[in-house]
Amino acid sequence: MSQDFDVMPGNKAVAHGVRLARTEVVPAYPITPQTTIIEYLADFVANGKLDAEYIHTDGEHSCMGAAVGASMTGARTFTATCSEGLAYMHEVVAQATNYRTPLVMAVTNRTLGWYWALGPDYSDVQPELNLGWLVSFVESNQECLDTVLQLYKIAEDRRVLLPAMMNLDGFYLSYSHERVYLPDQDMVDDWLPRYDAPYPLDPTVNNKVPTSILGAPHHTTYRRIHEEVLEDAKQVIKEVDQSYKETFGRGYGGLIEEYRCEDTESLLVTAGSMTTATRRAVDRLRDEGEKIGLVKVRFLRPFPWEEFRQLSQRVHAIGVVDRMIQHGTGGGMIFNDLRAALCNIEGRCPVINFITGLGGEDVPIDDLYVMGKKVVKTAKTGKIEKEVEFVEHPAAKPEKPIEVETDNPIYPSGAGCAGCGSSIIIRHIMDILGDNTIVVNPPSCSVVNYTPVARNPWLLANFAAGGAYASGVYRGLKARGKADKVYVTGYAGDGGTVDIGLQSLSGAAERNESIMWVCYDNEAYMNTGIQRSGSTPIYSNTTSTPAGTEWSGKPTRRKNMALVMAAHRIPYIATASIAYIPDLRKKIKRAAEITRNGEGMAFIHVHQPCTTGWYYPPEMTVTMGRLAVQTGAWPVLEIDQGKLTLNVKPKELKPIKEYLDPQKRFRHVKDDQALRLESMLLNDWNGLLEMEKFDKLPWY
Amino acid sequence: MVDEIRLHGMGGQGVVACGELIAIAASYDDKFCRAFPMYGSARRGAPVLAFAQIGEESEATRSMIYYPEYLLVLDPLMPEQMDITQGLKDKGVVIWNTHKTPDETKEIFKKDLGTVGVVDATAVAVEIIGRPIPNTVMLGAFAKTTGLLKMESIFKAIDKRFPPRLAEPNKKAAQAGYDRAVVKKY
Repeated sequence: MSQDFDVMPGNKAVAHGVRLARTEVVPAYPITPQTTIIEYLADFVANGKLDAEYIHTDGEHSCMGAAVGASMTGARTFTATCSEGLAYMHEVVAQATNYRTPLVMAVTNRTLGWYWALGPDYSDVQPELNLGWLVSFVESNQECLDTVLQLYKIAEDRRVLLPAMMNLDGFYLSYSHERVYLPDQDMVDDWLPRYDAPYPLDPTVNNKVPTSILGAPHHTTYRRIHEEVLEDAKQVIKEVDQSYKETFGRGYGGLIEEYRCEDTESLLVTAGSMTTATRRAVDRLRDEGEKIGLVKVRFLRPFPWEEFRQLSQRVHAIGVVDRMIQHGTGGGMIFNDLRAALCNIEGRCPVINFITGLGGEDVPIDDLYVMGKKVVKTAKTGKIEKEVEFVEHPAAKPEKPIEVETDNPIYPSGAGCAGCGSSIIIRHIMDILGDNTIVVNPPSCSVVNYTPVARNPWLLANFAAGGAYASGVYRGLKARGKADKVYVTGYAGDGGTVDIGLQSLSGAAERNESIMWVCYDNEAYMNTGIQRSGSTPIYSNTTSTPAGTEWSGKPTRRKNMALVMAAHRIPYIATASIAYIPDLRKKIKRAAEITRNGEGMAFIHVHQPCTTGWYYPPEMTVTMGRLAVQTGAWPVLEIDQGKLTLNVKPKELKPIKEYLDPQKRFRHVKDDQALRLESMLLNDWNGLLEMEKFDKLPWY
Repeated sequence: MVDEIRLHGMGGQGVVACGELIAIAASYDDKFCRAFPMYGSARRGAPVLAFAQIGEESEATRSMIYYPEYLLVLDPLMPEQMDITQGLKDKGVVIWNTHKTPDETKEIFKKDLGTVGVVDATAVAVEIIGRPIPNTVMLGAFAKTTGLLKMESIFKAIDKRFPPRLAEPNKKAAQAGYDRAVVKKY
């Protein structure tokens, strides 16, 4: 059973699992640390290694919607997300169970909401646990690949037909390289045949329609049946793991994996990547003669309560190491389930709980050793000294802050790239608006790089709610009589404006809130590593639209956001460029005037060349901005009370090649594609010249 | 114990790839291996940090690295410009891309080093590969200084990671790194 191996990060192991499963539809939306999964998959599809429909969705809510829709047709479907993205999906995650869609989702765990940490804990998956999905956790990169294949086989089994989630710890697995064996494609094809949906959403082969709405009297019965299906799934999980082991040589114990449990008197219980360090702690305690073992929870849903009931009869104490607290219950995520599972049986052993590793903090062997010691002691004495313990490492006191005197609205040491265009925009906005300004910033590279060094209040908004946050801040101030004394401005990237942020922004525009919204458009999701957005230009090579044998960069044109906003009839709309600073400053002043007077919303869309994402030398940021305007790739205009004016009018548009050539993201673009783009831009330009002739756009 | 290695360098010197090559080579020795780059946004012009772990499968952990025993320094200037020895174990091992001697290196690092391996890896890379990318030369020096990896495993790792056109000169570079590294124990 020789298998090829490679050394790869966990995210790549996931992608290989998806490829080997011959997955047919992949809806995707980027979020750290999930991003490289969807990048590897895009690369597979772009180069003909995976024959799948790849859907570049506009947000996680849409992403899971696309996944459920695709899975209902009978197509094998995969998606991935984590943290805020998973929370944003939540509603559709619940719907996936009703429709019995056996899709697989990888969750690269990352802290949810709590001060926006990037590291893994299980706060993101916790709200999803009880929706009726199969929920698994993995320990290693190899287990990532193997579990993707296992999950399809389990989920698609006619006894199950449920969606399945695989949790892999962000960073510890997602970005860490390990040896991974790659099963042979033919063997996988034999073991995991195509998904044969019993009732596909396809009128050509199936005349049954999905149940969308069910009367209340049926709910209790259907929930009972769903619960029975989840219980029955346990047998399928065990069978599939066994069959996988017989076929590919690797098994993980089914629902739980036991380690050194043969004659044990006490147990540590873990999940995820920290299990490996726990093995070492158990080894150390065993070397010292202590009778302790380890149980790794592979499937938290369905919960292996029978297994734990049996274990609790064999041992004298159980210690659960939890990477999540269930607030208000006093206990951790796995601990609470385990405690509940044992509460009605005779002869159960004491169970204690350690809460640790939150926010992605490492759980070192030394800590796990101490936890193990405490479980051993509990087993020996039969007494619980502390039922739930937080294992904390208080941070060292920060050094005395350095005093900096500056008139600049951004203090030194911002973490932006050399040649960052966004910092130029921020400086001019803040210079004009002054200190009585509140910036609302949905997630973006600028929020990461400049929030810590901004002088004025800089409010991090949720990605899909930027427009609403700004509206709320404005209305709150208005209610307190401060509407004309404080500027409220959104500052968002292209993703937070034209994709996931669009609904919230559109709502604010339709209500005509007197706020400003500045979109700094670097034409991709730069903060997560250059994935395409709805504002990425056609042909652009991004990490989710790579140029390959099958793809030539992004296949579609960008949204025309100025006209989208104009359709809302807001009083002021402008596009601007960092290469035309006097024009940009004039527009910020006009926007400030309009919002201060309570006339309504002002939207400024600033083109921001990005050295890192467009692959040009950092000193060329302003040059790239100028070339975009002079070639017609970025027309600079304003729509003031419905009157459209082109503010920069080259006598003749320059050839687009002058703009494309210095940027490596367009390196693959062929001459005929460049000509096609040039003619599209000329067409747009002529259209704008026509619109300029109106006294007002007709719908104003 | 799992052997823990921290790699320092600048963008363009192949630091991250070097960590991966260590992990790939270790995997051919049938060892547990793990490599990971420093987490955070990949800002241009910043120093690059990567980590690698090698050990027996039965000793694997998936923890962070706080106290490395080995420093693999791909940049010739960095050790004199900043302190890169944080957390380095006493009697730790330094492998540095420099034309300086082990004794001079020990002075510069201001630490109680157990073993020092030096090689002018950039010059060797230019001579053999034709480009100033020192990472594969440093792998050879690492193998000689530490004995943690077999050269044949390093060659296999290079074959795996590089297209044939680049693999051959890089294997030669690794061998030269092994041959020309000056190692001194203290």
